[in-house]
Amino acid sequence: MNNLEPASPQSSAAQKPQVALFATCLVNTFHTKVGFAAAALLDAIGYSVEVPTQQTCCGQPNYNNGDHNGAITVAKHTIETLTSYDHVIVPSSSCAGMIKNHYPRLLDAEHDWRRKAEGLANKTWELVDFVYQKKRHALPSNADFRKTITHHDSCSSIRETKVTDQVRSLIAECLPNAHFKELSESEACCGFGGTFCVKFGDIASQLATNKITDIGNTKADYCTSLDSGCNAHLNRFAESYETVRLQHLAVFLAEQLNLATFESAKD
Amino acid sequence: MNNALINQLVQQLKINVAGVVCCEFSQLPHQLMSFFDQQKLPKSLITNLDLDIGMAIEITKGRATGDEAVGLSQAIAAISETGTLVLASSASNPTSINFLVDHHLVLIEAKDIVANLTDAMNKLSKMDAFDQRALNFISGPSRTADIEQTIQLGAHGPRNLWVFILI
Amino acid sequence: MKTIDPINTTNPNGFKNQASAALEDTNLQTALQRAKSGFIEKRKKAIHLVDDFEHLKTQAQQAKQSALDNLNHHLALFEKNVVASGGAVHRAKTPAELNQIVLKICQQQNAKLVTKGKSMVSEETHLNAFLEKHGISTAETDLGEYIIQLAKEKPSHIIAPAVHKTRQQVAELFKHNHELGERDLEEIRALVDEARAMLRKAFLLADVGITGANLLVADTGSVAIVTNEGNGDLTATLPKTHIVTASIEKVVANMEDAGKILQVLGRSATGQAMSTYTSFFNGPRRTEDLDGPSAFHVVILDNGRSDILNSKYKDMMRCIKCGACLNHCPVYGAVGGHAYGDVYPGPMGSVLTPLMKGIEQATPLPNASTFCGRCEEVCPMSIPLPELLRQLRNDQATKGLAPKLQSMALGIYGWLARKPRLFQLTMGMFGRVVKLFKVSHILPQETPAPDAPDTFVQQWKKSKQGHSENE
Repeated sequence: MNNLEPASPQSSAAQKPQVALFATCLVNTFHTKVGFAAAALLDAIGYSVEVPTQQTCCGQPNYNNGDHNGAITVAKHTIETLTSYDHVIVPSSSCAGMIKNHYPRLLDAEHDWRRKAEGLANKTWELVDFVYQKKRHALPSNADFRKTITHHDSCSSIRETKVTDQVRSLIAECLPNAHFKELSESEACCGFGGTFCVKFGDIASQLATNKITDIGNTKADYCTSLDSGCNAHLNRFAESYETVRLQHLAVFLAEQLNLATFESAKD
Repeated sequence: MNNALINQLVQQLKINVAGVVCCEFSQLPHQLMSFFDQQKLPKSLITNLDLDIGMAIEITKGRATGDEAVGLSQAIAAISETGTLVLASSASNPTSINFLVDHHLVLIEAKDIVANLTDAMNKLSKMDAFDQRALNFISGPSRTADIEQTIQLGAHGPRNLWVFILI
Repeated sequence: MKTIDPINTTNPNGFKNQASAALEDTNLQTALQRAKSGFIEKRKKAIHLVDDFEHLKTQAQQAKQSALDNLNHHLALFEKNVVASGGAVHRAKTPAELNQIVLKICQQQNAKLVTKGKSMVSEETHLNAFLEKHGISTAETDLGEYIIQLAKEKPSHIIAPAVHKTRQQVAELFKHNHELGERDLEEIRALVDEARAMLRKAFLLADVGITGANLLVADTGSVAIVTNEGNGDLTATLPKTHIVTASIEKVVANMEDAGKILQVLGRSATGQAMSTYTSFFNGPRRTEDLDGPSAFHVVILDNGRSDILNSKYKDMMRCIKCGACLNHCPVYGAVGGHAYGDVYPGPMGSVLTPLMKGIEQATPLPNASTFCGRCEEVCPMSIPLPELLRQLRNDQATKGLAPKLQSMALGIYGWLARKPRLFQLTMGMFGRVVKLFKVSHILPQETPAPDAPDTFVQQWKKSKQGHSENE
């Protein structure tokens, strides 16, 4: 569990506490909107957001594809980039899980690096978990939203960061008149799996079709998720379901709660 | 007499699709006759137990050969949590009866019922039960789900299991 | 309709094509869908009925691990106790050795017909084909194994060998192989009854019965099998000779530990707290017995397992072959067992096959995983399957077995990821290229079009520069 460390000496009571936003390479390159939505959510609950410019990638592509040594060098770079911040927020369960659960193991052979990895792991949060645990009451609510939502729990959200109930509670609190419908097989993988969907495209397509069918059967207007990888993968098949919009939960909330900073960032 | 264990055993055996009767030993001949009448089966059985259950039932002594419809054994223990009977191979309980007959009738004394597998292992150890050739933990009639995952009773072993709990 | 050819899918390196064929096989897809939901629901129900399943798992894991940590001692004790009860133990290093040992025992008995209870070890060694070659008929008696024996196929699941077959396919097999004239085999009931009648003859006539083992109990010299049909017991009890084929890691210290493992095995495999028949065989018949085999042999196979136990993959040896990982795996659920091309499919097979056959013999298998982690979650032995698969991918790359383009791309990407400014420039350009050449087939199909020309970091930097310092 994360420890809320005292604010660094530079911030006074008049200034907001600071967090670092680690965008993740998928958000950084393809779904930049998610980054802005994340910043807007954090701002809305009273945090000042810094985006360290040295950030690149958490190292999962190398880690999961046999390049152990490459993953170590990337992890070290990421640790150095983020280590000075009090909290590191990651809008992806997959990448948050990499930092929190896998960095210490990856760097186990070098004592000092292992210690640094554990330090970073302790102050890294998946975005929605952070918002929910810290100051969700500060978020506005929208009682006029009466549409149907469902949620795709990514495998990393279920098993790495364990952010599932928090999503339902947050939606229920911020959109009290929304209808939430569960998927019938929420524990089933969508088939993205990083490079899996490239290497075994037809299996990945089958899994995506199963998931999209499940989503379609809920007749939901929106399907949210905490991972952009899943969204990118599922969006390829979602055109056949005109009624459902697949969105990262951060973007969905930023839009539906009319967060001012989000709107202005888009302009 | 632990009624809770008896009740749980009865419940679990029924869930496992076994027939269950509780009776005193003196009632056993009458219960067995009822069984044959209700099932409309010829009144004969194979067993190697030394039991005086009256002349009305034709008893063949020995092991099963595959030609017998009804067989009678006695369990040395039962597990109430899972509805399981423990039978040990012995002169009076040849294993072939447990698996070759259509209707397997099993006697269990209520005092030999334990709550769970751990307790059963302890009891069996104390009884040196593992000195026997075979120990069968039997929890219902034979079954399979190998075709379309649909459970069917009476695969290769007995089609029916009938338990007489002697209180 | 395209189908996967279950007879010729015997090459793990052919996984990709075999998987593609499986995806187009509508009969298979129907069967898989049915099996998956059945297994998952049954296990969930069974676990729900237990107060503290995690506690049962921990106990079982400790029992298993302590046996593995002292394997040779327990194997020696097991042997001593089997011999003391009048049986014999044989050790086989390789599949060929096991087959020879079994053949010799059968020939000493002048055996013509052997009945078989389900034994995955015997599948590893191709025992049936070997015995048949030497003029000994083998009759598989587990209904699923019987069905695939008729079909001349391999099992596609370690618990339910014929899970890939529809009832119509089974009816066809029976009509073709049993000469019983016109009859209605529409209902599953009729199929089961017919198999019962056909196999009853084999049970009664067999000279030798061969079963596998779920557990080998050292303290008592006992062999445990867990079944539902009663075929294992008929195989073990009726013939004059009972041969058990098992692998070394099946051994546990004592009956108490055996009980601990049994408490998680049935629940994880079929959702049963206890299978219909859980039996312990403690040697040949005693003097006072009226039935039972007079000869009791246990043949224990290594086949690379002691090497695995001494390697970074040793956790894999805790596997109790429950099949839960298969049942919950999205990949197995989509393509079934035959696509994996070897005895053990799914997550556990994707670790075992490369380890037992050699990494180069099964290169696709460790890669055919999304790392969803569901296998590890349901494994009663808490085997870290995704991590083992990840290690296998590392080993592949180290051995030069990874695709060249992939290794190059990863090398470049890993280098870029330590050069932040260059990283942002490159990813920004890459994003623009993707947007421009949206339908280019040189890029992976998965690549989405970026929602903006600049990367997020670039956009943020530009927008922050526009903000006042008081922010």
